Amino acid sequence: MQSLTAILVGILVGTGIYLILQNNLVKSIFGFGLFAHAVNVMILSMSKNPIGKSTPIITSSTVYPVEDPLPQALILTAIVIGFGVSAYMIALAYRLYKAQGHTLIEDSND
Amino acid sequence: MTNNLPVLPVVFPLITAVIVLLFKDTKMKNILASMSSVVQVAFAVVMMIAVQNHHILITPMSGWAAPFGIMLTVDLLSATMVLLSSIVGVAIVHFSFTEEDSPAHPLRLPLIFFILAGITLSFVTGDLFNLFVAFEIMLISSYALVTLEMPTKSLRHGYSYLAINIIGGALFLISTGLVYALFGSLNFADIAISSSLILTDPRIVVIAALLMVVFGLKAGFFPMYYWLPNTYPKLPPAITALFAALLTKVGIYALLRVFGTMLPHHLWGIYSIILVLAIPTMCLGAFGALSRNSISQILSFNIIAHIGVMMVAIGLFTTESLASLLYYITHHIIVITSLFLAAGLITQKVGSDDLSKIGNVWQKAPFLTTLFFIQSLSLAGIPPLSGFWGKWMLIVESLDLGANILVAFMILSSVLSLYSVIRITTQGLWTASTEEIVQKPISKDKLAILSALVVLSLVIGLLPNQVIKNARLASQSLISNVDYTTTVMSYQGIREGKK
Repeated sequence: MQSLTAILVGILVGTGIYLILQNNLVKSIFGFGLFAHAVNVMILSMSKNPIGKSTPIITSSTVYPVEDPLPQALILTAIVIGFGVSAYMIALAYRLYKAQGHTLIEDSND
Repeated sequence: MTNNLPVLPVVFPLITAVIVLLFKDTKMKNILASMSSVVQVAFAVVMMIAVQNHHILITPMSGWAAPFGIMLTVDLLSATMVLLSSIVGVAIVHFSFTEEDSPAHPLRLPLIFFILAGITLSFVTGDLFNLFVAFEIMLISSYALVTLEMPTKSLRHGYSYLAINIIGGALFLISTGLVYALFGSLNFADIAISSSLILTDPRIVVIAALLMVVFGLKAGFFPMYYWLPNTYPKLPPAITALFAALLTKVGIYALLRVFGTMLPHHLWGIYSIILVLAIPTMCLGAFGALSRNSISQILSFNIIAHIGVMMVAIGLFTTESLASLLYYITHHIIVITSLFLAAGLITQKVGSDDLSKIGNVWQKAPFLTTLFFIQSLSLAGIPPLSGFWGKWMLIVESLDLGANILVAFMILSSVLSLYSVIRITTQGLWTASTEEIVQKPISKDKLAILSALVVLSLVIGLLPNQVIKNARLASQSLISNVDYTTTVMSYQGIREGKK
């Protein structure tokens, strides 16, 4: 399970970096999104193998062992922050489009 | 000691930001912002006094027992940093009311307060994940500020600032995940205890290296600094001063917190890497400053040269070198703020900050030029001004440790950086101008605040004893983290635990 996750994270990071390195801001936004997802999947895998564990809702009838809920809490926070960053970047792309008519990040001599 | 004080300097700027956002009247807005920034200093002073008496203040959120809840933890280092950032905050807020006599963008003040809240949270937080959240609060507000304030044709530089920091944030999140996997906790004190049991584990080195990259990116270590001198000079002076004084120092602070409090002090490999990287950071920063021709660019490269000196202090990692670092940070935050603000006023006065275009500034604004001159000498480290003592302590300590090469490079970098700032005065401010430049009046309030900053840095330089004593105490409590860990971990919580 962990090694499969590692491969998935590797693919996501690789694709993300490739897209970030494009000089079109819209592609970069997707790249940053994939990168963030890769990080989230990696953190999820930090709660070890989930097979055979029950949901971490503690009542009198909970069967132990339970899944570690903390990585999921971290991911939720990270997703919210990532959401804010994506919204900001889309606004930036819009402003760039309004200003120069396209969303390419160009090398200017200033 | 359990105390709710650390919450105030975090929550107060957040509330101010939202309230300022709601007001439409500029005058009302400015009065509120001004009052709030002064109250923030009062909080910081009270917190400083409380820390002097009780050493460590903890604020357990919702009263969960350590290490399960979120716990704000303030030691002498955090309290000092909060005090410094609140003082800079007052100056920045008062300088950002107007931009070259026209009213500033309506979102500028709220964003500055969000940044200040993020900065303060990163100083008072007691766990790694909240440090990440604080960084993101600070950075997202700073992205918005950068793109709002930057001229549209420079947006590309704004984008490189954004891209490098998003990557940095993702790496930070990765290292947070790895820390949780290794130690099963995110609380600094708890990690300090568990990591002291597995001192030689190579995974600790991996985490330390990753965190060094993350915070080095923020602080502007070689080879990750290129975005800094490209982004900062494009911004309005008040915003540049805020970024230059505080954002890089947050990186240095986080590095100190992580290496000092959280991880074991046996990471020789990592320390050597920092020392090796310090040399090009110092030299390239100073050379870059020599190669530029506008005041704000010269100052931006000087930040990098000084970050290099701070890296030497971190890399040596002894009590005395960290004490010199804390003194140096205290000096640098105040001096670099006043220099950028003074540069902004000079630009406003004569209409340009290009050295080849300005002249006769000393005749038109003798007082402002004098302030700038004093601060630029202080930045370069001329005794008895404040920049001297930190470097002196660090050089003595490096000689004691036998790091002669580092001392040689530190002196080289200081001389070059002295030359670069002297150039501003001799080639820009003191030269006779050939063409008549339309001069604009500068506001008396801004000049008064600038003078207050200069007086403050003169006091630090001429009467350094108290600051050095404070720095030594802070660095001792950072190196021997027993007080920190026992105070945090002894908190039992106010809730009934369910077994």
